[in-house]
Amino acid sequence: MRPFAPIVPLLGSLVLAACDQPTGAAVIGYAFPRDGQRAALVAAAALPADTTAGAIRIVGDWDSGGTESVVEIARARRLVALPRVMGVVGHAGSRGTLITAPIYAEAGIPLVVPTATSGRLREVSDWIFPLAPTDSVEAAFLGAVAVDGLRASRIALLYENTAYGTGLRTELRRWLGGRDMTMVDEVPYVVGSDLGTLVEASLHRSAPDLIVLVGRRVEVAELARLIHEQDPAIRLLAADGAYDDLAELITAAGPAIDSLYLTTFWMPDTSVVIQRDFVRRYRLETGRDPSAFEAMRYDAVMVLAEAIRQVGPDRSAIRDWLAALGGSRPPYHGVTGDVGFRRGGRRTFVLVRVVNGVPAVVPEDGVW
Amino acid sequence: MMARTRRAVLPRRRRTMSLRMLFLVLVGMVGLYVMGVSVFLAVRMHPGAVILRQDSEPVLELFGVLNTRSQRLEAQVRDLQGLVQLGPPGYSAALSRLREHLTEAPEERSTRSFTAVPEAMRSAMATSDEAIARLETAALEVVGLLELGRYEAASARMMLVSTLMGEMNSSLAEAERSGLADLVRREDDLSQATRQALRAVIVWLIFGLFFLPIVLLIAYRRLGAPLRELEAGLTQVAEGDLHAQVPVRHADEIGRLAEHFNQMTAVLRDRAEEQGRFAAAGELMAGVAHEVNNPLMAISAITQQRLEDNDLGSEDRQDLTQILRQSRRAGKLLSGLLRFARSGSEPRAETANLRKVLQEAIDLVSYQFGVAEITLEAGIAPDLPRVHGDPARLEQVFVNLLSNAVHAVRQVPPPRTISISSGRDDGGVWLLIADNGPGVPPAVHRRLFRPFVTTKGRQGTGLGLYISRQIVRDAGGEIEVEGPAESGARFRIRLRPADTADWLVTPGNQVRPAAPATLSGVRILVVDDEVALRSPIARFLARRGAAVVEAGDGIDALERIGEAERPPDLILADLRMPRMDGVALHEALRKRYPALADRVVFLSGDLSHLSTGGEGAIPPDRVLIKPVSLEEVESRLLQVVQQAD
Repeated sequence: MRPFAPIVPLLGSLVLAACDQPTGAAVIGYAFPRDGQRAALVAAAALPADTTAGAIRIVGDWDSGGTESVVEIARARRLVALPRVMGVVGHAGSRGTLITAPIYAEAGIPLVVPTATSGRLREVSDWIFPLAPTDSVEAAFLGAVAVDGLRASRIALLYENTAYGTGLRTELRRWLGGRDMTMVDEVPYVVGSDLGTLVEASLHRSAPDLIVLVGRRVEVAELARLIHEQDPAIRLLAADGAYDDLAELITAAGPAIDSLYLTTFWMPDTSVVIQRDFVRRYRLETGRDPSAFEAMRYDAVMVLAEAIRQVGPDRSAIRDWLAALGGSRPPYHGVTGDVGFRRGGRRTFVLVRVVNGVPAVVPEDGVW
Repeated sequence: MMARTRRAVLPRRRRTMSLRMLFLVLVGMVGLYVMGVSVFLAVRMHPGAVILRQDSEPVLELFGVLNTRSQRLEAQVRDLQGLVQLGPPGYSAALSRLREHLTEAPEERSTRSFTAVPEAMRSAMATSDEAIARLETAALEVVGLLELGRYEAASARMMLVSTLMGEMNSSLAEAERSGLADLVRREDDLSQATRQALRAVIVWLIFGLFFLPIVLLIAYRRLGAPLRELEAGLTQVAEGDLHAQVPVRHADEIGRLAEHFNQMTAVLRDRAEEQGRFAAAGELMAGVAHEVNNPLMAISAITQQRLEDNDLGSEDRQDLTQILRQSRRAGKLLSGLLRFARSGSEPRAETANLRKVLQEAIDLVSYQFGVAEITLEAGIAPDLPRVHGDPARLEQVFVNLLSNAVHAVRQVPPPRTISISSGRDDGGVWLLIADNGPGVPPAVHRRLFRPFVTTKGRQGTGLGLYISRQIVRDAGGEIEVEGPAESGARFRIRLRPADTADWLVTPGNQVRPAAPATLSGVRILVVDDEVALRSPIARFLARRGAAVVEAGDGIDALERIGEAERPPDLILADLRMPRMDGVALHEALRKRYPALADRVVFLSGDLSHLSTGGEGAIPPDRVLIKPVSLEEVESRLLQVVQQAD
């Protein structure tokens, strides 16, 4: 059975909740494909049935899968058409978010973006509120880990040929340029590409000592495995997109997981009550540990719900409340830390290695 | 002091906004209309144009990016195809260059553009972008295979590249179709907006066509019609109709103007009626004077004849002398009244003896002094020069001022004083008439010489001082009331002194030739219907040696002339007679005895009935105004005899 199969009944209950919503209930749209619904389930369970602003319901777009542009646009259209929708959490990546952002702006619906990192998100409209750090922040983190931490001198890049991958590539070029360095090879790929050939050719022509992998978990795991098979000495540094399901990643990467450094927005700190409670509830609802993506999506839902609770079902007021968060208004204390939408946004990343099948945070001053 | 203002009975008027406000409102309405049309057009047309322009730019930009990428990619795929077909070895440099081209990063711009293009095209363009990315990646795979020397695998992979290129072209074509459809849709929208705007503009214009006449109608009703009525009223007044009234429609500026117009015509009507009454009274006075003059002259003539009787007792002589003096005094008064009444119609002289004129004016009003216990202090300088101005009109001025002074001092208890002083300075000849009455109230001081301003209430016309100032100014002088005196009013008149040459040549002052000493032997026909007058005159002339024949009227006179063997040398005829009056007699003489017509001396109580032109006109210097002394009659007759000789 696939790992997320147990949540199907829960998804069904979410559907029912959406269909049965009271007439006056405020709605939060949830713009992720089916495999990204877990955080919504946990958030839905965490929301009180009624607040002073009325009931809040989460409605996901559960009928469609995939993140292609056509699918994302159709998903946004359906969410915008929902009655009493006060805000939307999504979309899955930078490309989908950028393409659908005008739809929400035209409809006047706040869009809280949990994981997309494109730096251009804030430029599209005033209705977008990204939680994740931008490309440039992540590129700086990756560059610092590669150059300063891992002492790499020949850095190659394998990246997903989408807005996510090209955005990070551009920023990484810029960061390395600041250190008078260039990447020895840049190889784009898409889902379905012959990754083995691309890896073999790249290693053949560039002989890197570190390869940065920018892409989704499935492709990154495959690339890591292929590279490790070719040259186990090459260190691998994966961007945030790979760390959505650690178990799947460990399984798919195989022995290459030992060479892989993972970048993520968040790792649970069980010494913090709110995080410990979230992990507990997540495990209870889904039977597994939350990833950074899920935690970010959970925080996105909860901050939007808090906005509704604070100002009521008024989209413009919700937008203004969100815009002031972390500025004129104190940040929201989420499970991933303080949430605010000031210019620049979140800047924290965590570097993780898998040791004996268990993720371990690499301290900034630790041994790389 | 009571300012005499009379308000016409005005119709009810509507309270409306002032013309200034109306003008502002109308201009504002027109401005709003024009501005409204402009704003409406801008609002209706601008958004469509902006959307067309704004949407077009990112669409064209994105199309440009995608087309550039796809065309370059097609060229790279062709190169790659060539390398695959060429086979090994020796083209690593070409592969390296190809790989660099394939990993260039033009897609950032396209990604940004996705957010700005219309939603309908965004999906198609994103699909094209994804197809291009897939093709680029597949081409890079082929490059990798060639770099690894796997030519067969590369050749096989090229089939996938060809397929992906077909997909890319297909998606680009779809994007173009979508863009074209979107462009057509937006053009349709713009066209529809243009049509709607055009229809709306037509509606605006139609509204304007109704709106403009309303504005013009309002302007005409508030401006045009009242002004036309006012103009018509003014024309009526100019033509002499003082009953003209203008309707007061609104309480605005023109309404107030109409009110003033109506008040003015009402005042003018009242004045005209007063003037008419005064004129009638003057005419009546002239007639009465004539009727009184005849018996007065008869009394005077008979008395004078009786006094020439040496057998008359001393007591009778004293009585007759008193009768003669009183009759002459009465005659003098009547002469002054007639002269005053005639002053507007007589030919005007250019210079006047100020002393004489002033004395005559005093004579006219002096009858009031005794009754009212008024003391006249007249200090008239004996060496006053002649002044410019018509004596009769200047006399009118002095009579006005003296009458005003009499009226003023009557308001205060005795002693009542009117003083007249005169003199000469650098400004010319001055004359000061002052009284110890209540004086001129300060409120009317500045307006005193304006028409219809009076301090006499209903007893005054308000025209005396106004006319007096006109007369004095016509003579080149000035009249003014001096500043508030402690008591009484002080009017100062300044007149221009006449040069000696000016008055020497004045016909009325020419030195007359000396008359012959006697009428002895002169044949004189005396024509008068009043026997009481005719007989003493005839006896007086006969006593002076003339051969006198009497006639009762003009017809009788003509008969006597016709019957006589020799025509008379002179004719003394009354002007006002029954059957044929003096004027008719003169006409008849001009036709039948032209030489005799020039030897007629007329007697009249009034000149008002004399013709003023034409062949039959009687020269004024041939008329003796009754009452006149018999010596003066004799003197004039002797002058005529001398002129005829």
